[in-house]
Amino acid sequence: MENPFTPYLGSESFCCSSIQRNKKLYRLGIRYGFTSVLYLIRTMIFFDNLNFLEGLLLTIAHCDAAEPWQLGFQDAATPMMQGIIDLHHDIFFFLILILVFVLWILVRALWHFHFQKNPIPQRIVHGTTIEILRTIFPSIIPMFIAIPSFALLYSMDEVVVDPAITIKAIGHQWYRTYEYSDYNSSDEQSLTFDSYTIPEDDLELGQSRLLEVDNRVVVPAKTVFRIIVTSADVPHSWAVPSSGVKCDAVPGRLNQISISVQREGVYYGQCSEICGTNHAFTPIVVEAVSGKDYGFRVKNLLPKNPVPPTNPDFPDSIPIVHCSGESSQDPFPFPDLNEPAPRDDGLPQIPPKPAMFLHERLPDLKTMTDEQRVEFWRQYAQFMRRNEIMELWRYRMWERIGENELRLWRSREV
Amino acid sequence: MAGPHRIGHAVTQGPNVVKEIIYGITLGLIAGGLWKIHHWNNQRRTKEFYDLLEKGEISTVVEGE
Repeated sequence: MENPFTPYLGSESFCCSSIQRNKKLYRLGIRYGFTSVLYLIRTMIFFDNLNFLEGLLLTIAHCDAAEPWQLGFQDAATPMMQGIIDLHHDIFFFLILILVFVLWILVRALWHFHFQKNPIPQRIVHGTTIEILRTIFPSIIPMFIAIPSFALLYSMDEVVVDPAITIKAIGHQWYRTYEYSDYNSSDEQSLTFDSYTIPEDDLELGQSRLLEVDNRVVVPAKTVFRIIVTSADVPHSWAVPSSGVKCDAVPGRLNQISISVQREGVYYGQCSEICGTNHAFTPIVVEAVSGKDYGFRVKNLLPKNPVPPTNPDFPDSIPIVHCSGESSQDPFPFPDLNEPAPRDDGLPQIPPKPAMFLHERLPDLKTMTDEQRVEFWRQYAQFMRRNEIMELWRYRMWERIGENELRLWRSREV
Repeated sequence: MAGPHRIGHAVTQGPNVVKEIIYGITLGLIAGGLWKIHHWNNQRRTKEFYDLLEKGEISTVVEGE
């Protein structure tokens, strides 16, 4: 059977293939005239797609990412989003009904009581019957709207008792940290990684601007899982329109949402609570994979070399990781907060404030000789992650590390 | 002397309010019905998509080469 739904990976669109084909036909028809007329007549007679309406309107989004000039919702990937779309359609029916009715009455009033046709206006003060009718009937309409609305609202608020996995999404300025804590025992460090946006200069062909990240959240499809959302600094919001999810990340609070993605694919979202200057540059990408691929993908996220060796030519705070290929190990790990040094006075330990920014974790490059500095960047640059590259540029680090080093690092020739 | 001038008042039937309301509601229902047809079409397409996905006839994953 011919597949009417052309599959895409990255921007899945399932309902759009035939619609897109019909839209192309309509657009071609504009150029060729006669074809479009036949097509319009055909769709009006059979009412199967009503694409002639869609062709007249602006572009309707049919992907799992925001589209330019988007008018409608993105394709639903979860039952929650499908419920939201259905509720919107239910309410829109009443909106159209009232809009057409009011416009009709308005136009007819303007027609009948035009000053040339009706020079002497009537002096009507009140009409009891019509006032009763126009009070009762509009009050019935919200009742029809409220029933599906409350049904959806309460079903969205239902707490899933036994989610398959729990993922923590922590908002930072201006990146996200995801933790998979289900795969380690209580004394082990959970699988944690940062998710930074890919800068425009580093985008590859086919990637979306301001939507791509270096590390995606990998989740299993057709599985109910839970996401706990919080923030480390200012309020953020974790939003993925395809999944019908928008959850505020409030510092000092854990908000929980349950999701069940029904199809494999890649779903894009953006931060939805103003959080500073780079609020528009903290997207979210959720990649739903099959159950059997999920284990493989999570396993690949685990660090390969948990204990990196230290180069004696440099201070101990700069471990050089010698491994082939790209490493997910951070050569500048945060201090271990779980095991602080014991105090002599017996007072409780105050955990050291972790170095949040790269420039706080770099060695004092100004005290190094030029050879040491070049050697440092030669060894470090190849392991530098995109998020750190962005950090350096964002915080204008070039005055600290020097033009030459920065040029070397950018060119990646070392 | 001219006869008394009579000022003719325009006598119109005026619109029938009930009829206009009925016409308006009918048009509103037709427009709403068109929207409902669009909604049902979307639901049917979605159901078809997920049925085909369940059967394995289509996939949202690009086959590896």
